[in-house]
Amino acid sequence: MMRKQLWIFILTILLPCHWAVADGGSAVASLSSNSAEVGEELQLEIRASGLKNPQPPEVRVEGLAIRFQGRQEQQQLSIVNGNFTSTSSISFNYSVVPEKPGRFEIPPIKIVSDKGSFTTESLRLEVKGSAEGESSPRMFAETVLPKNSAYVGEAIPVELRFYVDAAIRWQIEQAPAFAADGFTTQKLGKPSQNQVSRGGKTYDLVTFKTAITPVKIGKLTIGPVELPCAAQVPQKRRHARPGIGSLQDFFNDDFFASQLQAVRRVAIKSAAQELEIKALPTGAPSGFSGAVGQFELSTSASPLSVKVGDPITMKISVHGRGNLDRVTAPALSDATGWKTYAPSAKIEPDDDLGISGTKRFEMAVVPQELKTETPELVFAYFDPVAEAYKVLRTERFSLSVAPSGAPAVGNAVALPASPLPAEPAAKTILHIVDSDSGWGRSFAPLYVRKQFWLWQIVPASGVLLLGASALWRVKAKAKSGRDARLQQAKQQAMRQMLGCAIAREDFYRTALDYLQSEAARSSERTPSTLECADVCGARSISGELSRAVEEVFETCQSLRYSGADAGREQIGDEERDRVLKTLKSYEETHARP
Amino acid sequence: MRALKLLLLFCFTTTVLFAGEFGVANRHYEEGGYAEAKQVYERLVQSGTLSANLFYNLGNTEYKLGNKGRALLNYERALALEPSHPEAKANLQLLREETGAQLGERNLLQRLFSALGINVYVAMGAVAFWSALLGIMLNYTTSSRTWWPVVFSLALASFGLTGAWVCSQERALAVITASVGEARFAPAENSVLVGKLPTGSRVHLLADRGAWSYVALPDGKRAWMASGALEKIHP
Repeated sequence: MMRKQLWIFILTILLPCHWAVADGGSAVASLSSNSAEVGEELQLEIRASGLKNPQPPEVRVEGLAIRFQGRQEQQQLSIVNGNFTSTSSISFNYSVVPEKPGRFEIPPIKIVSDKGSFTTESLRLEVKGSAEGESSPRMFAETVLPKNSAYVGEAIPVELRFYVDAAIRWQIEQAPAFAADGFTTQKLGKPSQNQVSRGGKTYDLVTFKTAITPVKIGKLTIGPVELPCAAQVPQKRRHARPGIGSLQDFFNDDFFASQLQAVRRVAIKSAAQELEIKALPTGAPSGFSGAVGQFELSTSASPLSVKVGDPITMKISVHGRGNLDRVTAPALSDATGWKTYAPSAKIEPDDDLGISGTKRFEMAVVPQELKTETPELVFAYFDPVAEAYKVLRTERFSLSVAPSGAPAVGNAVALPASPLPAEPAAKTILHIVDSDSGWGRSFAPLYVRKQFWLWQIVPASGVLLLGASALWRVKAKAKSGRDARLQQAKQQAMRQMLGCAIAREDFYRTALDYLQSEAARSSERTPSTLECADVCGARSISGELSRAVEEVFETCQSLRYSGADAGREQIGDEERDRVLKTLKSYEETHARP
Repeated sequence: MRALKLLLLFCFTTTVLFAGEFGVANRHYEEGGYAEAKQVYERLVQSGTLSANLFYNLGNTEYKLGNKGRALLNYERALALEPSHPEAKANLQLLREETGAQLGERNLLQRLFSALGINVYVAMGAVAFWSALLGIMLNYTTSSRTWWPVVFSLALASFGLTGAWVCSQERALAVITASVGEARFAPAENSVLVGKLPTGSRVHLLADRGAWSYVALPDGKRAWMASGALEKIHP
């Protein structure tokens, strides 16, 4: 009775209950921790409850690298005062990595949904770093410049140094990128790597070298420089979820944290550096074309004995350190009586940066009149160390120029035979060709043309045919050799069988050899391996002949395996004739078509 | 048999027609109508029926019209079709001296194999290869054992294939047809100049990026040039 009443009581409580679906919405943001170190990853969770189709908000805070990681949907059932309540919520998870020390505030975050928009509370985060006197940073970068000011056009060597804690396993993902607005940059060379000690810590040091050349004046900025890399950094995951407490603390222990190594993509950054770029002073000498640096000039000329109109090759070398690519060929200080052609140029660098080396020019100069020495060539450049323009001049070489035999320019004399051309010894192109032969050519090489490969079928077929015929000849020769041997064996056997005093056993053995040799002509097998059935089958014989052949086999075997004296008597003529007839009949079956 | 006759007739007619147009262009040239001559020559080129003489004459026409770069390009094309074309060689040499065109140094292999065309080396290699194979088969299928023809054929085949390979590297050569070829550090008009090359100079085309081409200059440096300023010798 009591039990029945209890059940009635319980049902009375439960039956009228109803599912209550939570109405309204809310948005809550939480950080896994409100203090961290530079580079330590935290989790930011924004939970939107009771909202329909909320959109993940974009969260940006300077100094914090915030990355959206994903969303999670949850359905929660709860009983409140006997009422069942169902709440759906969506969590947007973000990874937060502080990039620098300081105090940060994540502002209120707005969640937009079909039900409207909801805003979270702001969150505070305190980030400790090496600037506060704590342990040395794990990774950092420096840009090393030899000076703080330079002239426009001056080549400046630059070192990009990246330091990474030697305890971290890391690798470079891409070459470093750096902003260098107002500069041209050389290609980065291969980096060098070694280990150094700084601030009591051992670092892997990777150094990239390059050279920059400013192209405009003013205060220009180099960098910041950024090196993308992947590093395995021990992670201490701190979760703010309640109720799990002691288990999380267990896994937050340093031992486990050191095992939990996540590969993170990080960018090692250096600060930007300023350079003051000055304009080149006024008063540049004539012939200055923008070469800045420190240079030396040398030259040679050959031949030194020519006729008017013959070219002399002048080889000029500009050796030094500076913007070699802007160095142009020295020009003639006085071009009167000389004709020049555009020179060729070649740089031979001494270093990987390309700012030290030798630039060689080859120039053809042609004396148009009688000369006694080679022309002087002038090279002007700006020396940033001396802060002055300098002019280098090549030495002159003694030259012997003989008249060409034709009238000199400006001294035209009319010859009776034909009028003089406007320029002496002027060359002109050959006339067009009238011949209309040679059509049907193509730029496409033979090996891309279908016809070429089709033609290869001819020799390929020839080679294949030759091979096939050679193979067939070898086979035929082998067969005919075998046939000859078998025929010989048969003839020998016949001679023996026809002999007068042959024992019965020997006669039947020889007859057997004869039959086997004859049968082997129709097969590839060795004669001695052929049994009676094989011999009959080789010629498809049946009836009386087959029985006669069987009799030869049986008689031979019975004589072979009977007693020592059996079969030693001489064979009779009648028996001999019968067996020989059998052999002849068998042989004749080969001749039948 | 009838099909063969029709084919021969077609080839003959085509040749006559093209020869006729070629004669027309030549007449224009003789009369000083260089622009008209150029039109007809270019029409013949577009039609796909080519000859070394066609490009040689087109080169002369371009020279007369003042386009030295294009003249050099067409002489190069004539020599690409017929390496021993004497007139094209002579005019090319003359024009190169006139413009100061830069060519870059050739390595030993290129100098060695420059005498003949790629097709000669390919044909040589093919014939020598099949001869060597035939020689090997004969040695194994007959009683005679003479190996020196096989060795010689193999050597000739190697020579031919090497020549073909060396010549194929030159298919990426281009000629600067603009009056001055400006080579720049980057594919942009305002990029710093690496250098300037006179018209007719040869560069090695490394990559084509639409309006800009990445080239190797005669002095070995790499730079960007406007694609419109140069044209490949082997189209």
